[in-house]
Amino acid sequence: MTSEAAEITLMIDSRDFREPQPGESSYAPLIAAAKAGDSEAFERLIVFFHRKVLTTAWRLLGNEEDARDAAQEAFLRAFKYLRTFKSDQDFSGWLYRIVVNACRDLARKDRHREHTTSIDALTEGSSIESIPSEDDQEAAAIRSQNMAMISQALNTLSDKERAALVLRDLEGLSTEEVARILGSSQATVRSQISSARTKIKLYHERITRRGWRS
Amino acid sequence: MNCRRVEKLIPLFVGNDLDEDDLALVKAHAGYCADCRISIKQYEQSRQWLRGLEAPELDGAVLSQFRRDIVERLDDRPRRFTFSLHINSLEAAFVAVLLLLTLIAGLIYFPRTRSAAQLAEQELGLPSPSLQSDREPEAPAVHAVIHGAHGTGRRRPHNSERELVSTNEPPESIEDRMPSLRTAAPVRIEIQTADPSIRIIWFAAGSADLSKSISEE
Repeated sequence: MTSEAAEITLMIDSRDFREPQPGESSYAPLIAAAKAGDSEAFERLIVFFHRKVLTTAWRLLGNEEDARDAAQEAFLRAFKYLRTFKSDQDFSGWLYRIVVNACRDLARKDRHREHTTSIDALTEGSSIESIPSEDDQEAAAIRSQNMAMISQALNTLSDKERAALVLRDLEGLSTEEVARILGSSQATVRSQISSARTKIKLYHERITRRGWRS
Repeated sequence: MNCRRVEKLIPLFVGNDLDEDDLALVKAHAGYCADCRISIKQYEQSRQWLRGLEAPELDGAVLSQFRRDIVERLDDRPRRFTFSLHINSLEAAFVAVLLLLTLIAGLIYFPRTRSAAQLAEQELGLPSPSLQSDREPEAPAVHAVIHGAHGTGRRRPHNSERELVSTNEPPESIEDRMPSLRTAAPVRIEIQTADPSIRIIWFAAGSADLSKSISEE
């Protein structure tokens, strides 16, 4: 390992780091070291990005297990193709693209499987820390139902609509960034986002009329 | 601007995805159209509702396991990665050509060496099941007489054979004395496949023994 990478490792081991925001280049030395074949540097990149990658995969797939598989696959692909990454590129955007593709591939593979109730399973899972205390069981149940409804609403979208909406409205990326990540034109992305928002709005209206709390 | 056109722009308006001209148009229209204002509000509410999809807070153990799994899989990958780097296409092509040449050389050399071995056995009087004198070829044999240039063309005549040429006796074929040199006309081998329209026909430059053994079968 190079001395530069060693310094980075020490810096990260101090545990006072925060995840870099898109556009920040504090992980650039790590990328350079990882590109040079330093696997430890790549492990540090995993530490930096694993929450973001897992969250995005979960939002795209709506299922924790699949999200974990897709996130793993995304990191493996990132490692494999890191040599093709150019230093003037945005690493976040590059990684987003890999995540979206990994999720798309996994979704194609598991097309036959139904994930409509997956959010329920997820919110009841032991790995989730956000389950309320016993005093707040009712709130937890409502929240769980609401999450399941949102997940079902997202399931009404096509893969492309979902990807565009998740990246734009949930990940907060610009239309230009979303277009670049999805490999589409901005006009196409706008069309997909418009269609997706309309479907979500209609779904929300329907469940609101039935009495679901939003 | 009518409501129908504005309705199409509202989904993008709520996300601030319109250009300045369209943004101004929608704002102006919403100023006096109550229905479109309601529609805008509904879109905003649904967007807010969607944002309630909080990502799960995974605990430390799950995240640690996640990282470990990736690292383990990464450890498996370099071996394949290294292999693909070291064996490039040029080297692979070279190895393939080398193997092919070796195979061809083997195919050419093997019958020769076998024939030489049989000759040696015959000349030394060693028993060989393939050199039985009572076995007569059914196919017409091509005689490789001493003074002829044809035949196997791979060996020089033996001294004893040269002596035969010097006499006026009818020329004696080498193969009469050395049956291993007998060669037969090409053997036609036909194999009928399961598909009646496909028949494999193979002409083998066979020896007398081969042609006989095949005809016996």
